[in-house]
Amino acid sequence: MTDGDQRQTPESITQATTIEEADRILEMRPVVVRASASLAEVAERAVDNPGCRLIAVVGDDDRLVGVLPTHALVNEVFQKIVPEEFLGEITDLEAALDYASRIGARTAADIMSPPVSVHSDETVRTAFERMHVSSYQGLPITDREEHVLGYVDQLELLVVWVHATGREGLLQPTDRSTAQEPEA
Amino acid sequence: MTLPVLVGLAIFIGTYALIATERMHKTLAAMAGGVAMVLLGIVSQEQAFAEIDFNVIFLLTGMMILAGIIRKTGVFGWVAVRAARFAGGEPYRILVVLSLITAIASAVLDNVTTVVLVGPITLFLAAQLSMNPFPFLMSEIMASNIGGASTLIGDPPNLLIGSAASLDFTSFLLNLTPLAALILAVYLLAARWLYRDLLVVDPERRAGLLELNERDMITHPALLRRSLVVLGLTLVGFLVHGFLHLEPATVALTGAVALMLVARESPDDVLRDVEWPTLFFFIGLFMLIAGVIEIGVIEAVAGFIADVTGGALAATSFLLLWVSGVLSGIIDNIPYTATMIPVVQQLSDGQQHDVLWWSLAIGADLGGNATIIGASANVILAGMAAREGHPITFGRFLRYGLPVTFGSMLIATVYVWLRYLL
Repeated sequence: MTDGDQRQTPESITQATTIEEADRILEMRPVVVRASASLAEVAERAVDNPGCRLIAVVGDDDRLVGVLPTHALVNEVFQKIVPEEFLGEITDLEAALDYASRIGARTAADIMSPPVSVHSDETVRTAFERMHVSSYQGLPITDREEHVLGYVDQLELLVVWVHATGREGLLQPTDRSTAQEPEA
Repeated sequence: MTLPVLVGLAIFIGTYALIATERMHKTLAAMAGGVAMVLLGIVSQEQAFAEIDFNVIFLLTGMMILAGIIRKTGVFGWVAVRAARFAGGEPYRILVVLSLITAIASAVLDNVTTVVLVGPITLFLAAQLSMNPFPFLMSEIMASNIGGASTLIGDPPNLLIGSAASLDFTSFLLNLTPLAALILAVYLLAARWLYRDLLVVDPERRAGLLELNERDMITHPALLRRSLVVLGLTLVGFLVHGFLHLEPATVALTGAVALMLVARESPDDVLRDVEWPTLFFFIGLFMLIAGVIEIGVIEAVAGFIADVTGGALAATSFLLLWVSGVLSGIIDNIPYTATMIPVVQQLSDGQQHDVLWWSLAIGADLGGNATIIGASANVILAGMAAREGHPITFGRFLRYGLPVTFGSMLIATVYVWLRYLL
């Protein structure tokens, strides 16, 4: 954690913690796919690393060109499994055009959103702001050339705060055999 | 030419140019043109406001409210999915049923609402069948414009003409519905040949279609029941409005208010779905046309047409029909019709029947099928096709749209000749 004076609060510590420090706690691996990858390939990569909820999409030069939330991928796949759920929701032109874009999607590039990332020397505060604005549950960590280095999840931000409050016991696994059953 | 005539003409041509080139939003262009006519003294504000046809405005408003509520019920999806299953995954049968649904819905509701609801289902069906959606989307475009031509409330030019010429819902039903049905039937027969290379499907791909459950498409069953009752009563109201001494606009507003009451929808939500830009486009146009009438241009155009045709009814009808067909394929058929209405009023002065009005309506409605920019429904479905990865280019649309429009116009010419002029 960042050094600070005696009057630092858990909130100020959390805010100032760098992404590099935060990512060291859980070390979640990123899911990185090429923009030209088929949706089936993207799904395979996502399933291999279920903890990552925002897939990084890179171009031929390995730079980040977009992001793909796993819920968008699930929607894409289930659009063909339970189409009624999606078709029934279309009542206006905007929704119809959006549906047309999605039904024609073949590759990661077709459904990805504009790139959002955080650099490893930026802070948890910056990461939270970007996640909050974009409504993503995680972000790719990139270097200054936008090469993907890692992945930071909302859970990691929470862990940073738990550390900062000194209640690290919260993070210890519970022994189920000795855990007290809640009273009925 | 006097200065007011020159200024009025400049405003009119400038407004038309802005609308045609889309350099400015068409609502803003029409409103600016209308206001300019008043501010520059071409027409008094009293005359300009008096020229706004509230039959048209309120009829459109009422139908927009009805369509806005009904489309939330999912009834279109239900019908389309049921029809696709009924067609058993056979592409030509799917094309026919989707076209019929589009045509019937467009006759009752506005074409844009219809294609927005039918288009996504079409894309889904085409994706399931691994087919290019082009034949289906093109057929829906044709069907929406042909179906829209069949009733008073099907297409805005009909609303304008109906109000200006006091032609009621039944008149449109008796005069234009048989023609629209005939043209659609011929088109659907021709479609099998037109798209013969595209209407092929792998038999294995058909199975997925039969797994669709149309019941899941209905999002608000209770609202649907109420909506269908109110829509049915509104259509009956259109049929008997003359007998009731009520304008179609009053019937539409009554239906809209009744549905808002029984649907228990918030007026804030319902009125948000009303296409205010379209309504104000009409208001601006009416004010603009007030100026054009004032400077005497309409009389000059009517005189020119009368000179060319020698005042013969048949020649004037055919000229109107074909000029309207050609022009509405290039420019928006709403301002075109709004401009031509006073011309036809002058030409039909003293005529015994309404053949000139029907010629104007048929030409303005059917001409929209000629080009990709001929009608809003064309632009919307082409936009959906492009997003889906199968763009419809201007040239490709023209290759199919032009012969279909030409064929439709030939049928219409024979119909007008046999029915009104022989």
